[in-house]
Amino acid sequence: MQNRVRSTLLRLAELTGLYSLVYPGFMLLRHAVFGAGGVVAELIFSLCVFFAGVFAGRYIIRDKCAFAQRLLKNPLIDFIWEGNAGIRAATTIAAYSTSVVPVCVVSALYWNAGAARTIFACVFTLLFYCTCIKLSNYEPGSILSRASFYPGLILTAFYIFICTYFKSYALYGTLLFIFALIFMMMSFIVQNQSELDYVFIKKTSHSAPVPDKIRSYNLAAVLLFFAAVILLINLKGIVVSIIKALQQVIGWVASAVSDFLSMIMPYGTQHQDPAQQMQYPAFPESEAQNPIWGLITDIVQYFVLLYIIYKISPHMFSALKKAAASFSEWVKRLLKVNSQNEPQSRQDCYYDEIEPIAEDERSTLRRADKRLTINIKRDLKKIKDPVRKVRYIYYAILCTIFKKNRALSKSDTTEEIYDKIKDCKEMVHYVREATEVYDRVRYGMQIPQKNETDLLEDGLYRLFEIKKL
Amino acid sequence: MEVIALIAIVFIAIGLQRHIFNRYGAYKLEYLCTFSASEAYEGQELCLVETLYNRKLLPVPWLKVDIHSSKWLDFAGTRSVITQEDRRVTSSFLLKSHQKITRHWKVICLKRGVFTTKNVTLIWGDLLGMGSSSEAVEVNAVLVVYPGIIDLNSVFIPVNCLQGDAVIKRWIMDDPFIVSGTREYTEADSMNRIHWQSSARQGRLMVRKNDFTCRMGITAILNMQSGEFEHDTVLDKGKIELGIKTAATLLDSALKMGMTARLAVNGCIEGDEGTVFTKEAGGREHIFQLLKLLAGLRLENKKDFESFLAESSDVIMNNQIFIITCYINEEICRISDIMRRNGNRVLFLVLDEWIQEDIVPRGVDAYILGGER
Repeated sequence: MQNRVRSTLLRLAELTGLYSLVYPGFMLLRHAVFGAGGVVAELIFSLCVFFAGVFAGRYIIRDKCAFAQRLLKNPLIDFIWEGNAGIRAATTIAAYSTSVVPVCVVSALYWNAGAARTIFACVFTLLFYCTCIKLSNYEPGSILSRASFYPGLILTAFYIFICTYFKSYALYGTLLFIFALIFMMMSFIVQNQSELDYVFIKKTSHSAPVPDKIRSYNLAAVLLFFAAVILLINLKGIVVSIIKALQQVIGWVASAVSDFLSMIMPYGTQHQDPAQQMQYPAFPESEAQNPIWGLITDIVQYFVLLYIIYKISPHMFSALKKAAASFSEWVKRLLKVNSQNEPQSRQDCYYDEIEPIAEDERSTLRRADKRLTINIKRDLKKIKDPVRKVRYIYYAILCTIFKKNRALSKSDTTEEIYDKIKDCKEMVHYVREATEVYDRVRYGMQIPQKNETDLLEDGLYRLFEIKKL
Repeated sequence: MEVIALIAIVFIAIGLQRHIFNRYGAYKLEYLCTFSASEAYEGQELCLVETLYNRKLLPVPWLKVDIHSSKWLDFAGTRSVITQEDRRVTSSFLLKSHQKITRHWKVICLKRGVFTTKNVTLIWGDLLGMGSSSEAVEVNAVLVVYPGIIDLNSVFIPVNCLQGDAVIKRWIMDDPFIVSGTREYTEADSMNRIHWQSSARQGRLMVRKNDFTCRMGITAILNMQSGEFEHDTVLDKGKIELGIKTAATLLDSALKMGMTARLAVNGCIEGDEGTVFTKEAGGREHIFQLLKLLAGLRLENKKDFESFLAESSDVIMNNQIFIITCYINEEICRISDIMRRNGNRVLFLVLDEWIQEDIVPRGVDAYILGGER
């Protein structure tokens, strides 16, 4: 993307973020002074003023202007503006002069609303328009910087606080929340792109730009992060519960300290209010006229509900699992677009070869090991028959030996298998015992004792701990 | 309460991404930097290869690599910043999950030398610029750039041909197999008299002419003083560099002709304060060792050339001696005459456009700069 287009878009994003931060304040102030009304119309009008101001600032103010140069040929104007140095001043004055237009429009719109309202609207339109002109020429990243992000966030939180706690402002709740999200998103984008400019261009003296691929990937990553933040915001109920729980704990601690102080200093202390008790949810009251019949109906309802949940939940879990897997695939695809060999990317002085690499084999084996261990432990708990248990334990031993890179073949006897791991001192005794018990159970048709199976089970878990055979 | 939760969630999310990217950005991240060849000649083009492996699921949204190299290795164009003797290049990367990137920079070797890139700095950070981390990685990439090869017959002209309308080209280095020693094969010659090297050069079967062909080795003696009374640091670096190229050309010719070679310099290389006087030997490995010495020569002289030459004259026998020097004086001529009487053939390659003709002893050829450089 051309540098100039990118810079303009970034500036626009930054100003949009600033607009999302400032306009809600104006909206709430207007509501406080003049009451509700005309929210949508004012929003549209403010957006028009915003874009007009940015346009005027970007395209009227300039250092070189053919029209201004023609004007400067006039001796009188040349005398006033002193040659080229005056072009910027002249175009700046021209840009600010255009603020007359929105002021006239707004005064015409509010003419019938009263002098106070008209003056209020005109003053704010003028300030807003001139601010947009001024800020449209700032470098991207200088307005929504890291330093201004946190105060901006607190300001948006303050707006939401007002909407939540003052009922008259409740109608702005959703709109303010949207503005808050827009502010966050634009801040994230601007900070990310500014950071890339700072690290790769400003901190080095060379003139090569940041590759477009890095910019676009970072932009996608920032948007994904923003989506994650929105997701987390939707879970704010959990955070609220945690905060409430913390409040209670702090309350209990405070009251305990107060009681302790009142014990050691019996005079001059006041008893604190007791800590708030946890309130348990009240059971729904039955509306049945006959209490016994009502109870039976409730019990049947609960059982039916439980049965439905029992039947549906496996399907729900597998559907959720599939959805999670496909979402994860989608995220992976987003983060590693063209995961197969990407074509060579060429620049003027270098070329890149990009290829995927296989997952670390050791980590894959470690994960397979872990799954095997979990599965074996779970299955062993289910088996009650001691003969089956011993046979399963021996099977688990074979799996473990095989997974840990010891060659086994189907034709090996139990003695041959034992011979293969004789050199491993940590497990040789255990495998000897397990082999003897297994031979008795499998071929001798004997039923093992409970202590034998318990010992074998414990030994198996210790075998899992051995990292290398 | 909800407002507090909102602020808390945003702060936690920002802090968490910062922690994850800064802490785990370099985890399972490998960086390698090597040259595509360990040796090259001046003016030759090769590649500087950067290889990055990201062996984890977490991508690295941006990674900056600062490479510090010598300014005499020209690469990266406008992406490099040159300060004194250093060249600093910034390489930018984006690493997705489980990805390998191999970047090939085109490098042109501008000057001879032994160039080492010891370490590079990796810098990475999070998405919102909340913080960045850096790490120095040792790469130890070494490149030996041999001096360039020149056409001696175009650069030097013989002193005794200065007068006249045209410069007659003479072979500076006589080919012993053509001038004396071989003739064309006839049916009467036995197969064991065939001289294969000469046959390969001529493109037809050649046999040894007689059994007493004298095969001389080459000794290149380089004087690092650009002026007669110069001390330590070289003043005219351009002339000395030309002298180094001349010595390299002579060694290269010796390799091509299968002759033995020796190098003697009254200068030194990095890490060794003594003068250079090698053994006489042949073969590719030995010649490239000598070229490596020339590549690593520092532009300073460690010993007075006349003393150095006098010490060397006792050791060198039956050689074709090339004395590469910026000046000639009586003492040098006297020692060269002694060398000639010891059975050596002596030849001056003077890195100047003029010398006093009558100072050169009889039986010793002298060449001065006169052609293209």
